[in-house]
Amino acid sequence: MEAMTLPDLRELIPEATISISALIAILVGALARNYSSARRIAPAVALIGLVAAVPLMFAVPHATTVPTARFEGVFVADAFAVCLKLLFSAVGVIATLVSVNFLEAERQANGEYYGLLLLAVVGMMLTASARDVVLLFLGLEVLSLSTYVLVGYLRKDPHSTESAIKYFLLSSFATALLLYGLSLLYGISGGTSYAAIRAAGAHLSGDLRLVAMLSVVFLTAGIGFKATLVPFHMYAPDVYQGAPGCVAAFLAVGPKLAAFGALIRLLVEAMPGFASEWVPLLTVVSILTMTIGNLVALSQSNVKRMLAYSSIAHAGYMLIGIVAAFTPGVTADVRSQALAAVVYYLVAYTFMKMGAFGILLSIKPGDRFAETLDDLRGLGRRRPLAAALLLVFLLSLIGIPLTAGFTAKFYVFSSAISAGCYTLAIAGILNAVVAATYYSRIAIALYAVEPGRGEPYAAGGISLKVALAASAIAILLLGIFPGRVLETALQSVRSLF
Amino acid sequence: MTSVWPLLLYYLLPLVGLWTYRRGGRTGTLAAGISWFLAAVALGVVIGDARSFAVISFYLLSLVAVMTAFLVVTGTNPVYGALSLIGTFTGIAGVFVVLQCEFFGIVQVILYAGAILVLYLFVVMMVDLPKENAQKRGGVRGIAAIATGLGLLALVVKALAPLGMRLQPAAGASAEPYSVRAVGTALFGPYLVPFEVASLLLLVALVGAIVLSGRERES
Repeated sequence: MEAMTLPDLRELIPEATISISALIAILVGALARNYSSARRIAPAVALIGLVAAVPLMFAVPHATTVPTARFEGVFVADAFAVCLKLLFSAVGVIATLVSVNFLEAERQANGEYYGLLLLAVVGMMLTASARDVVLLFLGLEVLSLSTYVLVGYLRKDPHSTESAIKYFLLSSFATALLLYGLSLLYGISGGTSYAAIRAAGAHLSGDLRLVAMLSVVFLTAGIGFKATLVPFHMYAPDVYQGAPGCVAAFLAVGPKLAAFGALIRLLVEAMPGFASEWVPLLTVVSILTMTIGNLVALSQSNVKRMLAYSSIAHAGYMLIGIVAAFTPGVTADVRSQALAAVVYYLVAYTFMKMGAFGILLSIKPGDRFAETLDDLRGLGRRRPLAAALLLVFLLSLIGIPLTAGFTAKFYVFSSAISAGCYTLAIAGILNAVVAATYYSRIAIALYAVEPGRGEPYAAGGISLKVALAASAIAILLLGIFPGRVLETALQSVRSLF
Repeated sequence: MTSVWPLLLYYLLPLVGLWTYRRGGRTGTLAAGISWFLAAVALGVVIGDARSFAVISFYLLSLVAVMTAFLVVTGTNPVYGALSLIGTFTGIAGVFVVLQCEFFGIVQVILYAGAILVLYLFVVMMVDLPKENAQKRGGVRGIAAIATGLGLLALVVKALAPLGMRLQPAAGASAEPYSVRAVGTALFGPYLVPFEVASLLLLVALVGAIVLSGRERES
């Protein structure tokens, strides 16, 4: 038997850094519980860990230029992974900043909160790097398990507990479906690595086609749950509404980004031979996701629920880009442009969605944070700055020019047109029009003349303000100068091929 | 034939009225057992060569697993249910051994029959669950559930049945892939990262359990 050599673990340094700061945050929370100043330590540790991971991603030799596959291909830190991990770090930073004031207002112990948040980010990063279905599964599970606990973090709040149980049960079921799909893939290919699956997919015989179809259906269910694709979206409005506000902001973005990152890598590196199964299925799912998300959002009066349905609809738009990229017969150029559009959409979506959820945490009419349209009525007069920021996020969610939302939609729709998916492009544009109506309902409420209930006093501290201002600036910058980010996205996507 | 089982199982669950739960559960278990045994004997006669011993033991062990699984689902006493589940896990462990996956057989016994079942019993006895009440059954929802289950089952069977024994391990797979040594080498070689991530997963579960169930903590 040959001597065992340990694999080179250097590429895991960013993940290890964040995991270690998670452990420190948990320890700080446990040891320094009785000192009020300690409340500031855990979020500071979280921020330091997330920011320190960024230069470490680039410090690994060649990680950004030459794709390197270590651990016999289990884990890879190519440009695509690094690009997504940068975004995930930003998600973690915004989620941390948004949470500080909320946890203080709710008088919650916070060490474990930031620890679990960081571990959720680590899970997201692992799925972005996974080149083996075992690691993909474990990464998604680390993410899911952390978010179950975060959703139920307010133990005295029955809504929080209810949505945690709902999320846990449904998500476990989705995980089981994902595992079944992965086991069928293993049956087809005899291996768990993406390379083995790709090799098996290159020459599928007639009998195996049906198995491949089944596994694609199960994978769509499992990954689609995390990405809130219809018909696996039912949980999202309930869970986002019941979850603590800052967790809802993370939940609407984190799992979705991880799911789309994993889906892109899976489709490009493992399942190009399965495209004829994926494309028709995802086309239907995409149209359903956009349409149902937007139509149901029209009738919502709770802003958290409305934003949840809008996040479902946005998942449908993102899926357009993926379908366009894998439509049979597209050139390599169109394919990378479509995938780059999806990556760009993920970036834009992160800032506008976290910003919109974050604004709700800065407004507190009465004894709880703003949730309904009535809570926001007349905000433009009393809190002009908060109203203006929310307006920026709403304009971006609608897709008004000069905001990130517009450029993102533009790139995705135009990639669909150049790939020849006209149905999807038309469905997307029609949906964008429908969506504008309910976002404008919020905007109208903001600047309504008649005063709403209660006095919406400011609930945010400096960290929340920083997070919201940074998100709004990012949206405007992305909208006005989209070139640089799109170019980075394009390069990162090319590293996959 | 296979698709009859879910239907049968559904109607053997504790039911108000005609059948008491006991009769239902025992009849179902007996029916499953007899038909499974006949299938085993028939197969043994048909094959009749050296492989038949393995085939017959497979059928006998799966007979244990299926019968006890019936008892788990149809019973109303949670302690009996947990005890029957031990039988199911032991049967499955035996199947693993027949398939020459000794390691998984051992793991199955130690982890599932040992650790997890003891945990189940602890919980069941500590929270003092009441006896499960018999439920009314039927309606659109039940029929829709059966139809969906049967449809999925039919699809899976249709997809997997023609493959039969043609699925082969990938080229380069170890000669005895499920021996303890092979599992260890794989865990600390190519699967080192997933192995470490699994420990991260356990950490998350541990911290999460403490956060959700520990002493009330406020800052």
